Amino acid sequence: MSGEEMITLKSSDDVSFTVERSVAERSILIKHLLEDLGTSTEPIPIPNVNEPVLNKVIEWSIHHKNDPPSTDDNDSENNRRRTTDIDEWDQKFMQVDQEMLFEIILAANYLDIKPLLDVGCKTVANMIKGKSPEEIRKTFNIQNDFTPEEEDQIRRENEWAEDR
Amino acid sequence: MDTSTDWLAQLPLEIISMILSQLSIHSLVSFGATSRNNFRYHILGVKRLHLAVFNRPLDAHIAFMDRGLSNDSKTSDDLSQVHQIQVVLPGSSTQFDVPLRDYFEKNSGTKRGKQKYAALMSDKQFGDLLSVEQTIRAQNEKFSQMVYRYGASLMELEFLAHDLSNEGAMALGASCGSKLRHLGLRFQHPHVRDGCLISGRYWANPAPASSAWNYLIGIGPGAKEISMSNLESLVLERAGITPWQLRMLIKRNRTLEVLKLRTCAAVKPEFVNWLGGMGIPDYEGEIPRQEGEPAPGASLKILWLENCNGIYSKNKKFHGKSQDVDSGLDWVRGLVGLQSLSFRECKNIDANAVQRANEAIWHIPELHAPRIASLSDSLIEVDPEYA
Repeated sequence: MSGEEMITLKSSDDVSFTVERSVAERSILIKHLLEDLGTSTEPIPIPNVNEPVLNKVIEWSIHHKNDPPSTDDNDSENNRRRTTDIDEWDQKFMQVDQEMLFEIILAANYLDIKPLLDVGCKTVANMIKGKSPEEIRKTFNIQNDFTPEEEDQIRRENEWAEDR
Repeated sequence: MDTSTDWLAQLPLEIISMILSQLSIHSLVSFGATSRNNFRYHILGVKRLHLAVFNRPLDAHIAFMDRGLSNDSKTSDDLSQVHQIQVVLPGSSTQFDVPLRDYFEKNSGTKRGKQKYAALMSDKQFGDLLSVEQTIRAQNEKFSQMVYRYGASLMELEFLAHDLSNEGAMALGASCGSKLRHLGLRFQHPHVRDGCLISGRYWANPAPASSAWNYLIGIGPGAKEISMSNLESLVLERAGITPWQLRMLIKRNRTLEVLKLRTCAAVKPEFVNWLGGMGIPDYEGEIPRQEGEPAPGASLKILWLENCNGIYSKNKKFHGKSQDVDSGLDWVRGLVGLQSLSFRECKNIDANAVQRANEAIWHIPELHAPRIASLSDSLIEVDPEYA
């Protein structure tokens, strides 16, 4: 990695991270910003992302810095088909508490890091899969605001979905 | 850390919809049953729905296995997954009708009514017919339930069953609006041997004509003024839709590019001539088409008319005059955007005539002739599936 340009990112709580340009450019937002700015030694503020989350995002970006860019439509369709497939490293990476998981998803969305957003969404989807409504409520602390009558009606209307 | 927060609810809708796009219909439905908000979200997650409703699980499975004219080339750039749902009717729906028995009892005195009813029920043919009717009613009840729930967000909908009833059509007309791009109504399932069907012949001919179709063109009690109007693709198999009803449906959907009709009563000269811009002036007192104005079917890219015996190629001896080489099928000339044309299994269309007309006049890149022509006329493209 001789002499690769270094970029400094500053989290919302004013913590600076210095990373290789190729790592920072996993974020399409930062990539475009750098293209517009030209070479800059100023730290780039990331106002929506705090230190622990930015740290995680950078950890992910370092691991994936050599991944080929995936912008192709066919690619994303294939990804959707095989939904449970998450790279082993990514699976471990996503073993965090729910607050952190959702913060990573929001950061990936804001910073425009599509593969990270994908992994985050898949992780959440896997937490929903195969569960009953009650189990899903418990997993995500969802408040059941149906009346008993409504719930009953939905249950009856959903009968077709129960036999798999 | 606060462990009682519903983090999911804090996400923007676009991310929730990304998450939901990863789920099977079963998980999606479970998610929808968790709260009111999530119920709304789960509906947005169902964009492409294929629904098969039959008496036995095997039948629904078989119906899906037969791709028929089903849409595989996407008409929209939406990549969301297709949710295939198989619904099995509860056993009772194939039993004889209680209201019918009540009707007999009420209208002819209890005892005679019962006897009459029993006599009628012992007539096997009548019984079969009745049970088909009941199956159709039960199928459409399930269909309308689904369509009322998911219709507004659907971009693609296919319904596989025996036929469309008023109830199903009404739900379709009322719930599916301008978002719907592809509609498939597939009522031909020759491999489904339902106990109530007397013979395989049931599937061979178009379903009976019905006013139900009027709901799709905004006619009828309670029909919405603007129903579907942005269809890009329409597939009808063994549909009883009339030429007029189909014409009105196409008129309302000027964006239509794909029209695939199999065993449909509507495929008659009055319909195809209108499609190709050769129609007699419209019978609703509309302004006749002007010279040079594109034909109603000019924007079609794919037109498949299969197993439709209501259209004919004139069986004239070919005298080498190139202007009547497509005699009887000259309406095809008006379909200037056509990339693919099929007349598979159309008994009254001559494969040689079609082939000659395409070489001389139409120049359509993909042509499926009714059957393999005689050896002297080689080079007809035949779909390998049908060869």
